[in-house]
Amino acid sequence: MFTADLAPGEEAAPLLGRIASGDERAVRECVLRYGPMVLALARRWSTDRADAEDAVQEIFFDLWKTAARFDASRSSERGFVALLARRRLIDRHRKRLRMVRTEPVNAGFDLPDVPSDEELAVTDAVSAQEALAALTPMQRRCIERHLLDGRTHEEIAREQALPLGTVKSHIRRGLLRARALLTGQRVSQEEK
Amino acid sequence: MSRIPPEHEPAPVDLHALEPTVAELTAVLARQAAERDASASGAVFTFPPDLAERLIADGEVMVGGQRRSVVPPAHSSGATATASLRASRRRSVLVWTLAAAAGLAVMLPRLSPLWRGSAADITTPTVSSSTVRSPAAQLLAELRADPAVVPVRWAESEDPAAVNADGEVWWDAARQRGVLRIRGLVPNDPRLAQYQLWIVDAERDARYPVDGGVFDIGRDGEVLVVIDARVPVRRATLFAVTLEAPGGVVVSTRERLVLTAAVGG
Repeated sequence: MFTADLAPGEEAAPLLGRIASGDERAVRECVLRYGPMVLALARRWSTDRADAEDAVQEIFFDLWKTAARFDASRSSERGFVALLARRRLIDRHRKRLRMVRTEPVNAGFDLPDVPSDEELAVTDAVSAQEALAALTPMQRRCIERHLLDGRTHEEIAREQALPLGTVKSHIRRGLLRARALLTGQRVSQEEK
Repeated sequence: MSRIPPEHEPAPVDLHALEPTVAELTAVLARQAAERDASASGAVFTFPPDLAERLIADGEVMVGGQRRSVVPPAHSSGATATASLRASRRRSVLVWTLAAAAGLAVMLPRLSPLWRGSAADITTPTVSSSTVRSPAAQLLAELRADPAVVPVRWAESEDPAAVNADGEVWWDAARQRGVLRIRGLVPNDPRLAQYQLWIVDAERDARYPVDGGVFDIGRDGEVLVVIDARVPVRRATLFAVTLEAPGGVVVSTRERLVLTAAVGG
Protein backbone atom coordinates (compact mmCIF):
# COMPACT_ATOMS: atom_id res chain seq x y z
CA MET A 1 0.00 0.00 0.00
CA PHE A 2 1.17 3.49 -0.68
CA THR A 3 1.22 6.24 1.81
CA ALA A 4 -0.68 9.36 0.99
CA ASP A 5 0.85 12.77 1.18
CA LEU A 6 -1.56 15.01 2.96
CA ALA A 7 -1.64 18.69 2.34
CA PRO A 8 -1.37 20.89 5.39
CA GLY A 9 -4.64 20.78 7.21
CA GLU A 10 -6.04 18.15 4.92
CA GLU A 11 -8.18 15.59 6.62
CA ALA A 12 -7.40 12.02 5.88
CA ALA A 13 -11.02 11.03 6.07
CA PRO A 14 -11.84 9.34 2.78
CA LEU A 15 -14.37 10.97 0.50
CA LEU A 16 -14.68 8.83 -2.60
CA GLY A 17 -16.59 6.07 -0.85
CA ARG A 18 -19.11 8.63 0.28
CA ILE A 19 -19.31 10.03 -3.24
CA ALA A 20 -19.89 6.54 -4.62
CA SER A 21 -22.72 5.98 -2.19
CA GLY A 22 -24.44 9.19 -3.24
CA ASP A 23 -23.54 11.42 -0.32
CA GLU A 24 -23.89 14.90 -1.81
CA ARG A 25 -22.27 16.48 1.23
CA ALA A 26 -18.97 14.90 0.26
CA VAL A 27 -18.98 16.78 -3.05
CA ARG A 28 -18.02 20.12 -1.60
CA GLU A 29 -15.28 18.62 0.54
CA CYS A 30 -13.94 16.76 -2.45
CA VAL A 31 -13.82 19.86 -4.62
CA LEU A 32 -12.13 21.88 -1.91
CA ARG A 33 -9.65 19.13 -1.11
CA TYR A 34 -8.61 18.11 -4.60
CA GLY A 35 -9.60 21.10 -6.71
CA PRO A 36 -6.31 23.01 -6.33
CA MET A 37 -4.26 19.95 -7.20
CA VAL A 38 -6.40 19.20 -10.25
CA LEU A 39 -6.29 22.81 -11.37
CA ALA A 40 -2.51 22.92 -10.96
CA LEU A 41 -2.24 19.90 -13.23
CA ALA A 42 -4.77 21.22 -15.71
CA ARG A 43 -3.03 24.57 -15.98
CA ARG A 44 0.15 22.88 -17.10
CA TRP A 45 -1.61 20.89 -19.78
CA SER A 46 -3.90 23.61 -21.07
CA THR A 47 -3.61 26.43 -23.51
CA ASP A 48 -5.26 29.07 -21.33
CA ARG A 49 -7.28 29.58 -18.21
CA ALA A 50 -10.62 28.77 -19.82
CA ASP A 51 -9.23 25.57 -21.27
CA ALA A 52 -7.84 24.60 -17.86
CA GLU A 53 -11.16 25.23 -16.17
CA ASP A 54 -12.96 23.16 -18.80
CA ALA A 55 -10.50 20.37 -18.13
CA VAL A 56 -11.10 20.61 -14.40
CA GLN A 57 -14.83 20.28 -14.98
CA GLU A 58 -14.33 17.22 -17.14
CA ILE A 59 -12.04 15.67 -14.56
CA PHE A 60 -14.50 16.12 -11.74
CA PHE A 61 -17.28 14.87 -13.98
CA ASP A 62 -15.23 11.70 -14.43
CA LEU A 63 -14.50 11.57 -10.73
CA TRP A 64 -18.18 11.59 -9.76
CA LYS A 65 -18.81 8.76 -12.18
CA THR A 66 -15.85 6.62 -11.24
CA ALA A 67 -15.49 7.20 -7.51
CA ALA A 68 -16.69 3.69 -6.83
CA ARG A 69 -13.64 2.31 -8.60
CA PHE A 70 -11.28 3.77 -6.05
CA ASP A 71 -9.42 0.99 -4.26
CA ALA A 72 -7.56 2.12 -1.16
CA SER A 73 -5.34 -0.94 -1.33
CA ARG A 74 -3.90 0.25 -4.62
CA SER A 75 -3.36 3.94 -4.17
CA SER A 76 -4.12 6.89 -2.01
CA GLU A 77 -7.28 8.79 -2.77
CA ARG A 78 -5.19 11.74 -3.88
CA GLY A 79 -3.21 9.46 -6.16
CA PHE A 80 -6.41 8.11 -7.67
CA VAL A 81 -7.65 11.62 -8.39
CA ALA A 82 -4.29 12.66 -9.81
CA LEU A 83 -4.11 9.67 -12.13
CA LEU A 84 -7.66 10.18 -13.31
CA ALA A 85 -6.86 13.83 -13.94
CA ARG A 86 -3.76 12.94 -15.87
CA ARG A 87 -5.64 10.46 -18.04
CA ARG A 88 -8.26 13.04 -18.90
CA LEU A 89 -5.61 15.61 -19.69
CA ILE A 90 -3.85 13.15 -21.97
CA ASP A 91 -7.15 12.51 -23.75
CA ARG A 92 -7.73 16.19 -24.21
CA HIS A 93 -4.22 16.69 -25.46
CA ARG A 94 -4.61 13.91 -27.99
CA LYS A 95 -7.90 15.29 -29.20
CA ARG A 96 -6.29 18.65 -29.60
CA LEU A 97 -3.61 17.17 -31.76
CA ARG A 98 -6.20 15.11 -33.65
CA MET A 99 -3.96 12.14 -33.46
CA VAL A 100 -3.37 9.14 -31.28
CA ARG A 101 0.02 9.04 -29.73
CA THR A 102 1.60 5.72 -29.06
CA GLU A 103 4.17 6.16 -26.41
CA PRO A 104 4.96 2.96 -24.56
CA VAL A 105 5.27 4.39 -21.07
CA ASN A 106 2.10 6.44 -21.32
CA ALA A 107 0.20 3.60 -22.89
CA GLY A 108 1.11 1.40 -20.01
CA PHE A 109 0.00 3.93 -17.47
CA ASP A 110 -3.33 4.34 -19.12
CA LEU A 111 -4.25 0.72 -18.68
CA PRO A 112 -5.86 -0.81 -15.65
CA ASP A 113 -3.42 -2.59 -13.46
CA VAL A 114 -3.23 -5.43 -11.02
CA PRO A 115 -0.63 -4.63 -8.41
CA SER A 116 2.27 -6.98 -8.21
CA ASP A 117 2.93 -9.02 -5.09
CA GLU A 118 5.92 -6.85 -4.29
CA GLU A 119 3.78 -3.76 -4.34
CA LEU A 120 1.39 -5.25 -1.87
CA ALA A 121 4.19 -6.35 0.40
CA VAL A 122 4.72 -3.15 2.25
CA THR A 123 7.56 -2.77 4.68
CA ASP A 124 8.96 0.60 5.56
CA ALA A 125 7.42 2.59 2.78
CA VAL A 126 8.23 6.23 2.46
CA SER A 127 5.86 8.95 1.34
CA ALA A 128 5.62 9.93 -2.29
CA GLN A 129 7.23 13.23 -1.43
CA GLU A 130 10.21 11.47 0.13
CA ALA A 131 10.44 9.09 -2.78
CA LEU A 132 10.49 11.99 -5.18
CA ALA A 133 13.17 13.74 -3.18
CA ALA A 134 15.30 10.61 -3.26
CA LEU A 135 15.56 10.58 -7.05
CA THR A 136 18.52 12.02 -8.88
CA PRO A 137 17.98 15.58 -10.06
CA MET A 138 17.73 14.46 -13.68
CA GLN A 139 15.32 11.63 -12.89
CA ARG A 140 13.17 14.01 -10.98
CA ARG A 141 13.36 16.66 -13.68
CA CYS A 142 12.37 14.25 -16.44
CA ILE A 143 9.56 12.72 -14.40
CA GLU A 144 8.22 16.11 -13.43
CA ARG A 145 8.20 17.34 -17.00
CA HIS A 146 6.52 14.16 -18.13
CA LEU A 147 3.93 13.59 -15.38
CA LEU A 148 3.20 17.13 -14.31
CA ASP A 149 3.72 19.18 -17.43
CA GLY A 150 2.65 16.60 -19.98
CA ARG A 151 5.82 16.77 -22.02
CA THR A 152 6.54 13.84 -24.27
CA HIS A 153 9.83 12.03 -24.10
CA GLU A 154 10.86 13.70 -27.34
CA GLU A 155 10.05 17.15 -26.03
CA ILE A 156 12.02 16.54 -22.86
CA ALA A 157 14.94 15.25 -24.86
CA ARG A 158 14.92 18.42 -26.94
CA GLU A 159 14.66 20.83 -24.05
CA GLN A 160 17.25 19.00 -21.94
CA ALA A 161 19.52 18.36 -24.92
CA LEU A 162 19.58 14.66 -24.16
CA PRO A 163 19.25 11.64 -26.41
CA LEU A 164 15.74 10.22 -26.42
CA GLY A 165 16.91 6.91 -25.01
CA THR A 166 18.54 8.66 -22.10
CA VAL A 167 15.35 10.50 -21.23
CA LYS A 168 13.41 7.26 -21.33
CA SER A 169 15.98 5.66 -19.09
CA HIS A 170 15.84 8.46 -16.56
CA ILE A 171 12.09 8.21 -16.39
CA ARG A 172 12.03 4.45 -16.22
CA ARG A 173 14.74 4.21 -13.60
CA GLY A 174 13.21 7.02 -11.61
CA LEU A 175 9.83 5.34 -11.57
CA LEU A 176 11.32 2.01 -10.58
CA ARG A 177 13.27 3.62 -7.81
CA ALA A 178 10.23 5.52 -6.59
CA ARG A 179 8.17 2.37 -6.65
CA ALA A 180 10.77 0.55 -4.61
CA LEU A 181 10.85 3.34 -2.08
CA LEU A 182 7.10 3.64 -1.90
CA THR A 183 6.65 -0.04 -1.33
CA GLY A 184 9.55 -0.46 1.02
CA GLN A 185 11.53 -2.69 -1.30
CA ARG A 186 15.28 -2.69 -1.39
CA VAL A 187 16.49 -0.39 -4.13
CA SER A 188 18.60 -2.32 -6.57
CA GLN A 189 21.80 -0.95 -8.02
CA GLU A 190 20.09 -0.63 -11.37
CA GLU A 191 17.35 1.53 -9.94
CA LYS A 192 19.71 3.99 -8.33
CA MET B 1 25.25 15.64 -20.32
CA SER B 2 24.28 12.50 -18.43
CA ARG B 3 24.00 10.15 -21.32
CA ILE B 4 23.31 6.52 -20.46
CA PRO B 5 24.92 3.97 -22.77
CA PRO B 6 22.26 1.78 -24.39
CA GLU B 7 23.84 -1.39 -23.05
CA HIS B 8 23.27 -0.13 -19.51
CA GLU B 9 19.63 0.69 -19.96
CA PRO B 10 17.44 -1.24 -17.56
CA ALA B 11 15.58 -4.26 -18.79
CA PRO B 12 11.97 -3.72 -19.84
CA VAL B 13 9.66 -3.45 -16.87
CA ASP B 14 6.03 -4.24 -16.31
CA LEU B 15 4.66 -0.79 -17.01
CA HIS B 16 1.22 -1.68 -15.73
CA ALA B 17 2.67 -2.33 -12.34
CA LEU B 18 4.04 1.20 -12.29
CA GLU B 19 0.64 2.83 -12.52
CA PRO B 20 0.23 3.27 -8.74
CA THR B 21 3.67 4.85 -8.60
CA VAL B 22 2.72 7.25 -11.35
CA ALA B 23 -0.45 8.08 -9.43
CA GLU B 24 1.37 8.95 -6.23
CA LEU B 25 4.15 10.89 -7.91
CA THR B 26 1.69 12.83 -10.04
CA ALA B 27 -0.28 13.67 -6.91
CA VAL B 28 2.69 14.98 -5.00
CA LEU B 29 4.05 16.88 -8.01
CA ALA B 30 0.66 18.46 -8.61
CA ARG B 31 0.29 19.39 -4.97
CA GLN B 32 3.70 21.00 -4.95
CA ALA B 33 2.79 22.80 -8.16
CA ALA B 34 -0.38 24.10 -6.54
CA GLU B 35 1.68 25.39 -3.64
CA ARG B 36 4.09 27.07 -6.04
CA ASP B 37 1.14 28.62 -7.87
CA ALA B 38 -0.09 29.88 -4.53
CA SER B 39 3.16 31.50 -3.53
CA ALA B 40 3.60 32.97 -7.00
CA SER B 41 0.18 34.55 -6.89
CA GLY B 42 0.76 36.28 -3.60
CA ALA B 43 -0.40 35.13 -0.24
CA VAL B 44 -2.88 32.31 -0.32
CA PHE B 45 -3.75 30.56 -3.53
CA THR B 46 -7.46 30.58 -3.92
CA PHE B 47 -9.26 28.16 -6.11
CA PRO B 48 -11.57 30.25 -8.34
CA PRO B 49 -14.80 30.45 -6.33
CA ASP B 50 -17.03 30.47 -9.40
CA LEU B 51 -15.35 27.33 -10.70
CA ALA B 52 -15.70 25.68 -7.31
CA GLU B 53 -19.39 26.49 -7.20
CA ARG B 54 -19.92 25.11 -10.71
CA LEU B 55 -18.12 21.91 -9.78
CA ILE B 56 -20.09 21.55 -6.59
CA ALA B 57 -23.42 22.22 -8.29
CA ASP B 58 -22.68 19.67 -11.01
CA GLY B 59 -21.32 17.19 -8.52
CA GLU B 60 -24.31 17.39 -6.24
CA VAL B 61 -26.61 16.78 -9.18
CA MET B 62 -24.66 13.78 -10.36
CA VAL B 63 -23.85 12.28 -7.00
CA GLY B 64 -27.36 12.85 -5.70
CA GLY B 65 -28.69 11.29 -8.88
CA GLN B 66 -26.84 8.11 -8.06
CA ARG B 67 -28.69 7.85 -4.79
CA ARG B 68 -32.18 9.20 -5.25
CA SER B 69 -34.81 9.20 -7.89
CA VAL B 70 -36.81 8.09 -10.78
CA VAL B 71 -37.02 4.41 -10.41
CA PRO B 72 -38.81 1.76 -12.42
CA PRO B 73 -40.55 -0.38 -9.82
CA ALA B 74 -39.69 -4.04 -10.03
CA HIS B 75 -43.16 -4.87 -11.32
CA SER B 76 -43.27 -2.12 -13.92
CA SER B 77 -43.16 -2.61 -17.65
CA GLY B 78 -39.47 -1.91 -17.77
CA ALA B 79 -39.73 1.80 -18.27
CA THR B 80 -36.72 3.79 -17.35
CA ALA B 81 -36.56 7.40 -16.47
CA THR B 82 -33.34 9.15 -15.97
CA ALA B 83 -33.94 12.31 -14.15
CA SER B 84 -31.37 14.96 -13.94
CA LEU B 85 -31.63 17.03 -10.93
CA ARG B 86 -31.01 20.64 -10.60
CA ALA B 87 -29.21 21.42 -7.38
CA SER B 88 -29.13 25.02 -8.31
CA ARG B 89 -30.24 27.14 -11.22
CA ARG B 90 -26.79 26.86 -12.63
CA ARG B 91 -26.91 25.25 -16.04
CA SER B 92 -24.13 22.87 -16.73
CA VAL B 93 -23.15 21.39 -20.01
CA LEU B 94 -21.88 18.40 -18.13
CA VAL B 95 -25.17 17.69 -16.52
CA TRP B 96 -26.99 17.85 -19.77
CA THR B 97 -24.39 15.71 -21.43
CA LEU B 98 -25.31 13.09 -18.89
CA ALA B 99 -28.97 13.41 -19.56
CA ALA B 100 -28.47 13.32 -23.30
CA ALA B 101 -26.41 10.21 -22.96
CA ALA B 102 -29.45 8.47 -21.60
CA GLY B 103 -30.73 8.44 -25.17
CA LEU B 104 -34.26 9.38 -24.43
CA ALA B 105 -36.99 10.00 -26.94
CA VAL B 106 -38.86 12.99 -28.34
CA MET B 107 -40.72 15.93 -26.87
CA LEU B 108 -43.70 18.03 -27.65
CA PRO B 109 -45.29 21.51 -28.14
CA ARG B 110 -47.29 23.74 -25.72
CA LEU B 111 -50.30 24.41 -23.51
CA SER B 112 -51.74 26.85 -21.05
CA PRO B 113 -50.04 29.00 -18.42
CA LEU B 114 -49.51 28.13 -14.81
CA TRP B 115 -47.78 30.50 -12.49
CA ARG B 116 -45.70 33.57 -12.87
CA GLY B 117 -43.59 34.17 -9.84
CA SER B 118 -40.50 36.07 -9.03
CA ALA B 119 -37.24 34.21 -9.05
CA ALA B 120 -36.49 35.38 -5.56
CA ASP B 121 -39.56 33.65 -4.30
CA ILE B 122 -38.90 30.34 -5.92
CA THR B 123 -37.12 27.82 -3.77
CA THR B 124 -35.57 24.66 -4.97
CA PRO B 125 -36.12 21.23 -3.53
CA THR B 126 -34.87 18.43 -5.70
CA VAL B 127 -36.00 15.44 -7.61
CA SER B 128 -33.55 13.02 -9.04
CA SER B 129 -32.96 9.70 -10.65
CA SER B 130 -31.35 6.34 -10.85
CA THR B 131 -32.16 2.95 -12.20
CA VAL B 132 -31.99 0.87 -9.09
CA ARG B 133 -35.05 -0.21 -7.18
CA SER B 134 -34.15 1.41 -3.91
CA PRO B 135 -34.40 3.96 -2.38
CA ALA B 136 -37.52 5.18 -4.22
CA ALA B 137 -39.27 1.85 -4.04
CA GLN B 138 -38.26 1.51 -0.43
CA LEU B 139 -39.56 4.96 0.35
CA LEU B 140 -42.81 4.25 -1.44
CA ALA B 141 -43.21 1.08 0.59
CA GLU B 142 -42.69 3.04 3.79
CA LEU B 143 -45.15 5.72 2.77
CA ARG B 144 -47.73 3.12 1.81
CA ALA B 145 -47.34 1.52 5.21
CA ASP B 146 -47.86 4.83 7.00
CA PRO B 147 -51.56 5.37 7.72
CA ALA B 148 -50.95 9.11 8.07
CA VAL B 149 -49.87 9.41 4.45
CA VAL B 150 -52.76 9.63 2.02
CA PRO B 151 -51.96 9.33 -1.68
CA VAL B 152 -53.28 11.98 -4.04
CA ARG B 153 -54.16 10.79 -7.52
CA TRP B 154 -53.13 12.71 -10.61
CA ALA B 155 -56.14 14.38 -12.19
CA GLU B 156 -57.11 13.50 -15.73
CA SER B 157 -55.12 15.57 -18.15
CA GLU B 158 -55.78 16.82 -21.63
CA ASP B 159 -52.15 17.47 -22.30
CA PRO B 160 -50.99 15.25 -25.15
CA ALA B 161 -48.07 14.09 -23.03
CA ALA B 162 -50.34 12.87 -20.28
CA VAL B 163 -53.62 11.72 -21.78
CA ASN B 164 -52.82 8.18 -20.73
CA ALA B 165 -51.02 9.07 -17.54
CA ASP B 166 -52.05 8.07 -14.08
CA GLY B 167 -50.52 7.46 -10.71
CA GLU B 168 -50.39 9.45 -7.53
CA VAL B 169 -48.34 11.59 -5.18
CA TRP B 170 -47.28 10.21 -1.82
CA TRP B 171 -46.26 13.07 0.45
CA ASP B 172 -45.28 12.77 4.10
CA ALA B 173 -45.57 16.33 5.39
CA ALA B 174 -44.23 15.46 8.81
CA ARG B 175 -40.99 14.09 7.46
CA GLN B 176 -40.87 16.29 4.35
CA ARG B 177 -40.44 13.42 1.97
CA GLY B 178 -42.44 11.96 -0.83
CA VAL B 179 -42.63 10.07 -4.07
CA LEU B 180 -44.41 10.68 -7.34
CA ARG B 181 -45.69 7.55 -9.03
CA ILE B 182 -46.29 8.22 -12.68
CA ARG B 183 -47.40 5.82 -15.37
CA GLY B 184 -48.02 6.51 -19.02
CA LEU B 185 -46.34 9.89 -19.31
CA VAL B 186 -44.77 10.43 -22.71
CA PRO B 187 -40.97 10.18 -22.77
CA ASN B 188 -39.06 13.42 -23.18
CA ASP B 189 -35.82 14.28 -24.87
CA PRO B 190 -33.87 16.16 -22.18
CA ARG B 191 -32.00 18.06 -24.87
CA LEU B 192 -35.29 19.66 -25.85
CA ALA B 193 -37.48 19.71 -22.78
CA GLN B 194 -37.79 18.39 -19.25
CA TYR B 195 -40.60 17.78 -16.84
CA GLN B 196 -40.61 20.04 -13.81
CA LEU B 197 -42.35 19.51 -10.51
CA TRP B 198 -44.03 22.33 -8.63
CA ILE B 199 -45.54 22.26 -5.17
CA VAL B 200 -48.12 24.82 -4.10
CA ASP B 201 -47.74 25.52 -0.42
CA ALA B 202 -50.78 27.04 1.28
CA GLU B 203 -48.53 28.93 3.59
CA ARG B 204 -46.71 30.65 0.76
CA ASP B 205 -48.04 33.02 -1.82
CA ALA B 206 -49.88 30.79 -4.30
CA ARG B 207 -48.30 32.66 -7.19
CA TYR B 208 -44.95 31.41 -6.08
CA PRO B 209 -45.02 27.64 -5.88
CA VAL B 210 -42.04 25.71 -4.67
CA ASP B 211 -39.91 24.49 -7.51
CA GLY B 212 -39.55 20.75 -7.13
CA GLY B 213 -36.81 20.25 -9.71
CA VAL B 214 -36.75 18.64 -13.11
CA PHE B 215 -36.89 15.03 -14.19
CA ASP B 216 -36.99 12.98 -17.35
CA ILE B 217 -39.18 10.13 -18.46
CA GLY B 218 -37.73 7.34 -20.49
CA ARG B 219 -39.66 4.69 -22.31
CA ASP B 220 -43.32 4.59 -21.57
CA GLY B 221 -43.97 2.91 -18.27
CA GLU B 222 -44.23 3.42 -14.57
CA VAL B 223 -41.66 5.49 -12.76
CA LEU B 224 -41.07 6.73 -9.27
CA VAL B 225 -39.70 10.18 -8.62
CA VAL B 226 -38.38 10.90 -5.17
CA ILE B 227 -39.16 14.35 -3.83
CA ASP B 228 -36.30 15.58 -1.75
CA ALA B 229 -37.43 18.95 -0.53
CA ARG B 230 -34.56 21.07 0.67
CA VAL B 231 -36.87 23.72 1.96
CA PRO B 232 -39.84 22.95 4.12
CA VAL B 233 -43.17 22.60 2.38
CA ARG B 234 -45.45 23.49 5.23
CA ARG B 235 -48.85 22.66 3.75
CA ALA B 236 -48.88 21.24 0.26
CA THR B 237 -52.15 21.80 -1.54
CA LEU B 238 -51.25 21.03 -5.12
CA PHE B 239 -48.56 19.08 -6.94
CA ALA B 240 -48.13 19.93 -10.59
CA VAL B 241 -45.85 18.86 -13.40
CA THR B 242 -45.09 21.19 -16.29
CA LEU B 243 -42.98 20.73 -19.37
CA GLU B 244 -40.18 23.23 -19.62
CA ALA B 245 -36.96 24.04 -21.37
CA PRO B 246 -34.00 21.83 -20.43
CA GLY B 247 -32.91 22.57 -16.90
CA GLY B 248 -36.29 23.89 -15.91
CA VAL B 249 -37.32 27.46 -15.36
CA VAL B 250 -37.50 29.84 -12.48
CA VAL B 251 -40.83 31.21 -13.62
CA SER B 252 -43.17 28.92 -15.45
CA THR B 253 -45.23 30.28 -18.30
CA ARG B 254 -47.56 27.31 -17.78
CA GLU B 255 -47.62 26.60 -21.47
CA ARG B 256 -47.55 22.91 -20.75
CA LEU B 257 -49.33 21.98 -17.55
CA VAL B 258 -49.04 18.25 -17.84
CA LEU B 259 -50.23 16.80 -14.53
CA THR B 260 -51.87 18.06 -11.36
CA ALA B 261 -52.79 16.43 -8.09
CA ALA B 262 -54.80 18.52 -5.66
CA VAL B 263 -54.54 17.57 -2.02
CA GLY B 264 -58.04 17.02 -0.71
CA GLY B 265 -59.37 17.73 -4.16
